[in-house]
Amino acid sequence: MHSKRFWLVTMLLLSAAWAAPIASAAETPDPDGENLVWPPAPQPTRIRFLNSIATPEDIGRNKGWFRRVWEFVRGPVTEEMRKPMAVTADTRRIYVADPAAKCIHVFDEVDGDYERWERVGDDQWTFPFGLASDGEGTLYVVDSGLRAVFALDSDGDVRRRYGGKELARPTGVALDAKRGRLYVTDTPEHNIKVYGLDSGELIQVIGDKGTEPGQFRYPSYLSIDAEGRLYVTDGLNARIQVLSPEGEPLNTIGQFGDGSGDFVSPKGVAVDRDGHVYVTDAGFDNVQVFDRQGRLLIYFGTTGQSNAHFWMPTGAYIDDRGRILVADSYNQRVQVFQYVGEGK
Amino acid sequence: MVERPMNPTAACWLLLFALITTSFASEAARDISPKRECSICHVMWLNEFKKEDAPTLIPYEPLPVVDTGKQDVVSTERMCFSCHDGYVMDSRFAWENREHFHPVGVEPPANIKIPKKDGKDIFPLNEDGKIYCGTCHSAHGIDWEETFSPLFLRVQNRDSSLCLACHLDRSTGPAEGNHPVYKPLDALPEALKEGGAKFGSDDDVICQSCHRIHGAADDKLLMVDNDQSQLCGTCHSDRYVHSREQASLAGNHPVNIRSDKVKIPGSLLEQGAKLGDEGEIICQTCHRPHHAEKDASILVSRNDESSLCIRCHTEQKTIYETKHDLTPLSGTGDGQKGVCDECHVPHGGQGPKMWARPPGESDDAVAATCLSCHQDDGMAEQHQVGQHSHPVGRDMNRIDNQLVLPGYTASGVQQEQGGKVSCPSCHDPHRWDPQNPEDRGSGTEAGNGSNRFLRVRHAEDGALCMSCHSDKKKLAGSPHDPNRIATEFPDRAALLPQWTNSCNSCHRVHNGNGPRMWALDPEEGVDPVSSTCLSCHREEGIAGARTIGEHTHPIDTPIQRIGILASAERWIARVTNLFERSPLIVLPLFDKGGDRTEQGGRVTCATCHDPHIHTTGESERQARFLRIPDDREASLCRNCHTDKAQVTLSKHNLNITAPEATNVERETVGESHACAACHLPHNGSGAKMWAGIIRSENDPMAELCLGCHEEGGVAAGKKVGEHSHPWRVDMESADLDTQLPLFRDTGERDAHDGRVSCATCHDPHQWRPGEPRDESGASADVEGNGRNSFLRLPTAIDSELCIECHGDKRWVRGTDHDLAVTSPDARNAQGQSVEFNGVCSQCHTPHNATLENRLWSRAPGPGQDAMEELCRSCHSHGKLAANKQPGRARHPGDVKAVSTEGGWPRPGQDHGGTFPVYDAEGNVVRQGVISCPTCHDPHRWSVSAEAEGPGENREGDARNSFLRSKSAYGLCTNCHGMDSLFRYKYFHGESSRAPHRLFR
Repeated sequence: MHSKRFWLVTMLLLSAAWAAPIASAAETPDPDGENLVWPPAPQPTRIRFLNSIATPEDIGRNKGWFRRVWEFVRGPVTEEMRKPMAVTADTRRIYVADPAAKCIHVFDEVDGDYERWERVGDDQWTFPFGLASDGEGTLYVVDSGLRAVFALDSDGDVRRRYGGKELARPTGVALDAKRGRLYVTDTPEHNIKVYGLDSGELIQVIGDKGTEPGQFRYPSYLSIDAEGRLYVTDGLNARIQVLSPEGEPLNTIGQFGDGSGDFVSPKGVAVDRDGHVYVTDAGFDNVQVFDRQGRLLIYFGTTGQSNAHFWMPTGAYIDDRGRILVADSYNQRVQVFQYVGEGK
Repeated sequence: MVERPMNPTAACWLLLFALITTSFASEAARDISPKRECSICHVMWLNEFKKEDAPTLIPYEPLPVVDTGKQDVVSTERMCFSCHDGYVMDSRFAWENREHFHPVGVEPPANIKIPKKDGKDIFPLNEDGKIYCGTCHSAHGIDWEETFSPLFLRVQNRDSSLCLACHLDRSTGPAEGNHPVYKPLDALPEALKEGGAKFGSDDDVICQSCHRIHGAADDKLLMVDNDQSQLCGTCHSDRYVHSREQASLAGNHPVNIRSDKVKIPGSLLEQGAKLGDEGEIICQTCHRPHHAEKDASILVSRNDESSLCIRCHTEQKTIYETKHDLTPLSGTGDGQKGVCDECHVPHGGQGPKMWARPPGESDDAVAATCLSCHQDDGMAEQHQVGQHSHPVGRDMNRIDNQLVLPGYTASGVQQEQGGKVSCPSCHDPHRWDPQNPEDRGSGTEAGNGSNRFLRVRHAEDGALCMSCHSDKKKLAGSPHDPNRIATEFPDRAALLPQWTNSCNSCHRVHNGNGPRMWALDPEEGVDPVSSTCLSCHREEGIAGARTIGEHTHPIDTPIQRIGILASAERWIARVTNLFERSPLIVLPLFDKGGDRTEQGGRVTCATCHDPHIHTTGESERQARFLRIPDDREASLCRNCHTDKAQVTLSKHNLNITAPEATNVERETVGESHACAACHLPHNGSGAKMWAGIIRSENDPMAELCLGCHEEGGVAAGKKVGEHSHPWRVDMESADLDTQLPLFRDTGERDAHDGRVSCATCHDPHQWRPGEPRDESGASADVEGNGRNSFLRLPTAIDSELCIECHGDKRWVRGTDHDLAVTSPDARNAQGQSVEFNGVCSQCHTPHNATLENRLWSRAPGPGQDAMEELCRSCHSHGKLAANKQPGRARHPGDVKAVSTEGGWPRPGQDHGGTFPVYDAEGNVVRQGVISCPTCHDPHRWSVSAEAEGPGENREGDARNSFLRSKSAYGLCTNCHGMDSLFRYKYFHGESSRAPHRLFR
């Protein structure tokens, strides 16, 4: 099925039967996970629940004999997530920022290994909040307490530091490697600061406080699409703003409300390879999917603790394989969905 | 939030509700733009919820059910944390420790009265009447400019005023059973500040000083963990200890320790007392900061009359109503002071026992506490221990047997091993009757051995005393066994009313009459130790049959007088200890007060005797309670008298020479001991406690010696003979001087006024002078000579002993009269040679002399007078000096010369003096015959030289030849005048005595 037709049909359905289909899509998940697909049959599946990651065992880690002996000697190691706030990934690893545990959880899916980065240089993380990956092994971490962005290599060693006193409380981070720009939201300042990826210098400040397009009230998470468009979670304006690579406002998605396509507490934002925009909402405990024009296509998830349920979801990320990673903060896990895509 | 499928019925109700809400609230809602600020939190005010046809992503639920109970949706934590999750602020960490929150979702208990204002609750409950966040918090109606308490509280919480609005009953102070509040602190504890504690405007204690409303560390919303009273300890650090040692230093009841002895009763725990995680005693075991009893220092239970103390210290509750229950006396009936407090206070006492009557620097705190009452002007003035009381402070380790009674440390802690003796070693101050805890005494009775707070009933067998003094059990059945005495001497025992059981008959544990806690009247005039013994062993005493007599072993005399250097560990004899391989046994010595001494000390009865030991001797007759068995080798005597011990190696050890001989006590030495042949420690005769029958007071020593050395005596073979050296010689009268010992008539040594006795020349305890280890005399058959024979100095061959007194005779050595020079093979009348018995012996012998005159030891020769007979023993035909006879040996016997007083010339008197003249018996007289020694001094070769003889038989001339005169003619001219030579010539010349016409 052609993708445009699929979304059109969905929209029609939404318009025709405003309450029932959406409610049923959200409220009848199969606890076994076999039917955790959206939209529900008989319509072709576009999104499928894959798995949930709470501990290293969830990525298939086998501790091995030596590790078991070592842990027997040293005692059990704390590995669980406490409050995952952001998630990102590269070709082999999933990274989760956890300010409550003051660490970055690193899951190596290829080796089935787990690491826990607790230190940034000689310091300890104070509030690692936002994450971005260049896909080539460099991880960008925003620490709101340290008021900086740190570029880490694959060993977790600091390669570069961005930002200084001009950052009041940085939260979100996004990377445009093609244009050499590093975007950082500065929430209390209601703007987005742009650093030269190579120079490290502040090269632009986007926006100020307000409700007009191009203005923000407490912006947080960032995402960037293939064309370099920037997606900004505009928290207390309850919307996603889409900006051009130069920072010009292009579009807004959603508004304050409790209807489908509205937001109460928008959090993470992510864009898939087809340009669909995924927004988590800690008020609704769901993920809403919009097209580029801001029309709601579908949503999934509701309050709860079982699979595909959320308890105050936060950051989201979509990797090269189309997997949708959602940090489920109060459930202390990352849930993974598969964007099936068109014609598949 | 609960998932609910929307069913038609619910939808209808929702629709209805929406319609109603819309119709009623439309006016009000119209002003609240659902897209504006309010709806950031009040999402239920969004328009979607009010449209009957509008589907919503979350169900309309203005009062959602959450885990804290029903509450308004805007005050769910979700609502707050959807923003305050870090990107605006992160408030979540204040919500850690979710289990330690001010309770929500519950109805307030009945005792909580929520204050009202204008008829409305200031702190509203939710629709179900339960506490929810909004009870205390509200985003509305607060002064946003207020910086003191920006917590959206409905009321300012300055000085915990908000807390107290509901919990006013927790602020009423100790009188109502609450921890004090609004009490200024000297210093704000760091641990509390770090935990987030708040303090009042004046740095005083408020609710939030201890409690944290959200995210507290411990139960009861406590700021700091308090399972080990850590919270209490932050302020009360002076009372917060972790060990008994720390508690001791602080003088506090220990906390954070587990007690092995004391069990916390379940009933106390039910009342609210707590224990630490490991069952330790903590502050809250006794105290409750809230809900404590009123007027009870926030104690779990009032401590009137120490009722709380004894809940745990149950073993001590037997003190009630005994004489040690002082509450009626102290007059502190206010409930704060109780039975225990008289001696122990849980805070601010001294030492580990928290003494309430600080003993200060005492090295026996518990005794000091006892004596604080049991003293003059004390509450127990009538029950004092007196000057002579059972000692305290002694080391329990000195007692060999397994301890039944406890020892104590200086600070008063009972010890399982060792420790020092103290009052509670015998007494349990908490229990009147050791066998009957219900017997508390009448409160006025003096008590007896069955009670009196004793730990063990002091029965007839002295069980209490024997708990420690088990070695005294050996007393039983002995002559010192009081029961036996009472049976055998009922009349005497009846004189002593206390003669009741074994120990108390003689000892009174407190208020004794003298040292050793002596119960009898001690004998006056002797040392304190011996006085106790003599209180019985005297004529009119219980042991009147066993007195010590007038002449007895000395007591109250320093041991060092006989050369013993004594310490508590070792005795060293200044005189060589003959038996070095067996070191001296340390015997008890005492100071003048009767206490045992560590260094030196005096001999008392108890030095030799242990009145409680009855093992020595197999027979009753030998039962002498001696510390060292007084065996035939005199082990006891020689332990002190090391200088006399060698007597056992001599003939004077009658075990060797006369085992059958008995002394005045009719004991053989085998039945008693070696020394007893001559000395009796008690009831002897004379100063030396002679063991013989002394018939006169003249010289008891000589009499004792002769008691054996006489015909029929055991030493009949060694008599002194008819002619023997005189004794009782007054040296001054004899114009003699000596270093040898002299003796008074009573037998004591006296170098100044003493006289010669047997022991002047003889040491009866040592066979050979200078050789105490010599054993050659240890045989009945051995014949002595001048080198041994118990002589103090040898006589062979230089007659050192004789010369010691008769120094003026010493120049005889080396002269012709020294037969070692002139006739070594000569023998005297007793057949003794010079070699055998010395120079003097060839002419004189001290015992068994041939003649009384000069104790002559040779057969006398011819002569007209006694002295001539002596000289001519040798100087006559056929005798040793037959070649030295004057042609006319004799001065005419019919000439009587007068010799002036002063005798003959002495060395140094060149020409002075006169020559001695003699009577017929040989005595020097004023008018007598001129005999050989008138002109000759047989002991000095030459009057002009103070020297021994030349050592060879040299022909003499007028300058020597034993002549008394220095000049050749002086001898004659002394009597005959300067013309005597002429007259001599006249008489002795060829013409002499020829018939003359004038004299014809």
